[in-house]
Amino acid sequence: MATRLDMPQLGLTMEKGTILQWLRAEGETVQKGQPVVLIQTEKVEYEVEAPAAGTLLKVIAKEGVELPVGGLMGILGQPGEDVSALLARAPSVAPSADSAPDRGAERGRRAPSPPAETISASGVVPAREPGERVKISPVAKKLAQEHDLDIAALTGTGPEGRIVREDVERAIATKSQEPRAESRVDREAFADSIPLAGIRKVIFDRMGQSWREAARVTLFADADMSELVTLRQGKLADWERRFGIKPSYSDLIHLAVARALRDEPRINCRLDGQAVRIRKEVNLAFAVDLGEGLVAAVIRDADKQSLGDLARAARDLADRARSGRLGPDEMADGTFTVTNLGTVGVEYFTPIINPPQAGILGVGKIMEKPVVLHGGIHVRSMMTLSLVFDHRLIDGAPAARFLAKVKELLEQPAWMG
Amino acid sequence: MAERVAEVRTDAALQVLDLGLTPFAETLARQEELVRLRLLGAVPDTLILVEHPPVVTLGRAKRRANLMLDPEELRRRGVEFFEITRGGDVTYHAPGQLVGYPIFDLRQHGRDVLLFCRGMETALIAALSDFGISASAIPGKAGVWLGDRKVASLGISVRRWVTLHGFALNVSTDLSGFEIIRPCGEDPGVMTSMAAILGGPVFMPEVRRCVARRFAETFQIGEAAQLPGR
Repeated sequence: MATRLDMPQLGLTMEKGTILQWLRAEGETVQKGQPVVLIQTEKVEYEVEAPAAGTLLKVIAKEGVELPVGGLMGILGQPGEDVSALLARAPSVAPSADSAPDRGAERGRRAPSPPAETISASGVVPAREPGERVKISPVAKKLAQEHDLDIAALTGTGPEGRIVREDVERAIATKSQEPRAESRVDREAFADSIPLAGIRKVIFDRMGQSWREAARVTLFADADMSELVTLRQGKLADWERRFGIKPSYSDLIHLAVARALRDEPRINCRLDGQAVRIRKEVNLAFAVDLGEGLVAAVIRDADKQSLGDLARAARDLADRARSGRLGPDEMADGTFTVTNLGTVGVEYFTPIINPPQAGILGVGKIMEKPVVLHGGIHVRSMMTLSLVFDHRLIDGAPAARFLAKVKELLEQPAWMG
Repeated sequence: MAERVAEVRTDAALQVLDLGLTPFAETLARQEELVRLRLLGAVPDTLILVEHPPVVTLGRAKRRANLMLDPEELRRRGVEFFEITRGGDVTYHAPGQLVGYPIFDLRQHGRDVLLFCRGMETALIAALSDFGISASAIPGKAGVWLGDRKVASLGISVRRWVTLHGFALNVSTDLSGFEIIRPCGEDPGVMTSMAAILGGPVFMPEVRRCVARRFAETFQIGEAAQLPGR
C-alpha cells in the first residue's frame, strides 16, 4: 500500500513548512521510523520519519519548496505500485508548478498518458488543442456537468484519450481540495478567506471527529443561582482583598464543577484504546475565545485549588491564550471541559465534546425568572446547565448524578464562602 | 561520561548539565548522546548550559551570503566554523554568551514544536526579568528582543519529538564579534547583551541559575540538582 508523506502539523499554529533536504532519493528504500526528509518551520528543523517501510516512489516537493500543512511532499510504497489515487488527493499542485505547465501540455497531446503523471496538470492547462473534439463517455459527461466541470480541461485516460468516469471523479476530488479563494468569483463574494490550516484545521478535525464518533446525550438542569448571587455580592470585597482578584461566576462554577468531578469521578474519564480510563487528577479545561479560533486552557488539579487560586489561574491562562503565549502543557491533558456562553447572553446550548474527554458542561446566562416555590410565584436568578456526555463511555445515571451534584453545589453555596 | 548521565533517573525533573566553557564540537557530541538516551527514556528532560570559544555555525537553511568571511579567514582569526543540522541560519557564539541546549521530549510537552519555541522565549524573558530587564517576544521573529535589539537567538532541531540545539543569550558577549556574520540575515548591529542593556557587568553563574529555574518553571518540571558537567 502506497503512503502519502504529508507536511506534518508540528504545532497548533503551524500553517506551512519548507523542504530543507531529502535524506533519501527517489527509488531508495527506507525502514519505518527512519528519517526521510528534513523540513523547517520558523526556527525549527524537523526530521520527518517514514510512517511505514518502503521505497520512496516519488518526491513531489523539491528542496526549498514551501508547502501548507497536509501538502503532499512525496510518496512511499512498493516499486511499480499505482499511486494515482494518492496523487489525485493532493491538496495542492503548487510544488511542481514551476515545471508542470510545459510537461502537462505536452502530455495532453500525447494522450493517453498514465494517470499518475497527469495530475499535476489537471485543472491547470487544457489537455488538448483548441477546437479539438473532446472524447468523453456519456456517464463521465453527465457527471462533469453535474459538478460544473469544463470537460475541455480534463485529461482522458481511456482508449484514444477518451475521458472516462474515473477522470471526472479525480477532477472532482482535486477541485474540492483546491483553495477556493483563488477563483475570481470568490474574491468578489467573500470579505475574507480563512485557510483550513493551523488552529482552524485542528478545530476542524477535532470537532468533526467528536461529532462523528461520540454518542452524544445532553442533560439539562436549571440551577437556582439566587443564593450564589447574594453570596457573591456579600463576599466580593472580602474575596478581592484576600485573593487580589474578583472571582467571576465562571470561577465559582469552576469551583463547583471541580468538586463535583471529585465526588463523581466516573465522569472524569476518557477513551484510551480499548479501555475507559477514569482519571485521578481533575484537570479542568475551559474554552477561551481567541476572536478567530478558540483554545481550551487547562487548570491542573482544579479540585485541590481554592477559589482564589482558580480565579487567578483562569485569568492568567485566558490572558496568555489571547496573546498567543499559552505554554505547551497548558492546553494538554484536560479531563473535562466547561464552556460558558452565558457571559455573551446565551440561555442554553449543547457544546461539542473535546476528545478524548467524555463530557463537557455548557453554562448559560443567569436570568431572573418567575419560579414556583412552596406554592407561590417568586423571582429567582436562574441558570441553565447542559451536560453533554459520550454515552459510549458514561451511563445516564452517573451523568445525571454529576449534574445534580453541580446544581446542588451552586444552589447551596455556603461551602464556597 | 554518558553512563554517568544515564544513572540519573529523575523522571519529571529537569536535569541541568553545566558544561562551563566547552568547544562546540564536543558539546554537539554530548547533545547527540543525550538525544539518544532521551529517546530511550534513560534520562529526563535535560538542559545543557555552556559557553563556547568563538565559533560560527551555519544551519541547514545555509545562507552563506550571511557569512561575511569565508571559513578559512574565520579559522585564521581563531573562530571555528561548523555546518550543522538545526533550524535557522548563521549564528555566532563566544564566551560571555550563555548557550542553552534543551534535550526535551516534546511528547511530554504537548507535541508542539512552535509552542516549545514560545516556551523557551517565555523562560528567557522571565530570566531576564530577574535582572530587571523587561524583554519581549515578537510574533514571527523568533528570539528575545528589547525593542528592535535582539538579546537572545534561538533555533532548534527535532528528532522523533526530542529537541536539540536551542538558544544563545548574550550576557556579556563582545558584540563586535557578530560583525563577521549577518545574524539570521539581520544587521550585526541588531544584537545586544545583558551587560550592554544594564550598563555594567553581569554575574554569569547567576544568569545560569535563573535560566535553569525559569526553564523548569515554564515547562512545569521540577528542577533536579545541577550536575557538574564533567
